[in-house]
Amino acid sequence: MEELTVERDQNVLMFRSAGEITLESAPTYKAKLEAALSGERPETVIWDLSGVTFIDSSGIGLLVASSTRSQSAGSHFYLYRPSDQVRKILSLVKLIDFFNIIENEVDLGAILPE
Amino acid sequence: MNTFVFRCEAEPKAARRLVKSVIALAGEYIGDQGALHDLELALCEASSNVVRHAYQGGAPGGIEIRLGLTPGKSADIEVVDWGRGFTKEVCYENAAPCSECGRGMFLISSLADGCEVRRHGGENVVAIHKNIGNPSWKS
Repeated sequence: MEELTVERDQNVLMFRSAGEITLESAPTYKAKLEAALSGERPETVIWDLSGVTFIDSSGIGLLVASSTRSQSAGSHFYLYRPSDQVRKILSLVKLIDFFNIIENEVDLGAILPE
Repeated sequence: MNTFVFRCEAEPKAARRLVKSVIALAGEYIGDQGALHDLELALCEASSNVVRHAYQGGAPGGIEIRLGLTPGKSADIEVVDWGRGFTKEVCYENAAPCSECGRGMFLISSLADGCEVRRHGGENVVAIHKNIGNPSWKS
């Protein structure tokens, strides 16, 4: 089962994923992401991937699309604590340095507005 | 070699279930979770290609996974469809960083020790070979 929740707090848009991000879940993900990103422009977009148990290239495509769209709109885009499964595939497709990654709560706190 | 065959309709939910079934069976023989994850990811990419591209205009069609396990040595997997096949030369290169697609065959070839695409007798086959050494197998 896949799950995507969207939270907005001040100028931060936070996606939280759990479960799988695959071809099966991609259409649902895409619709939710587009709806969230088409609202008022946030200063920062953060995608929490700590609960992702499996991701394929369809999921990677969603991460890239969200990053591109956010940055085109002038927002900062970060991945937060990608799980080992996410890190593995990001490394395989040589995108580990393409994304800005927040590794822990301390670093997250430094990015979030007070 | 122990061989097993799995089939379903080429649609996203069924294909994902099919891959999980294949990996569950492989997990009865292989104890190495990293190797199983490699196989699952490669199978997921190959079956996603079938779902996306094999059958034009949403026409119904099937997908078959043939799993061959040689304990102590390797896994050989064929992902088969009966659709239009690869219409262009197969690209095993990684996509550009900002590309939202086109990484499937690169991933499969990165995860496997051998990967071949062939068309024979109406079948389109993506054949994946992965060496899995003796310590990774359940006794």
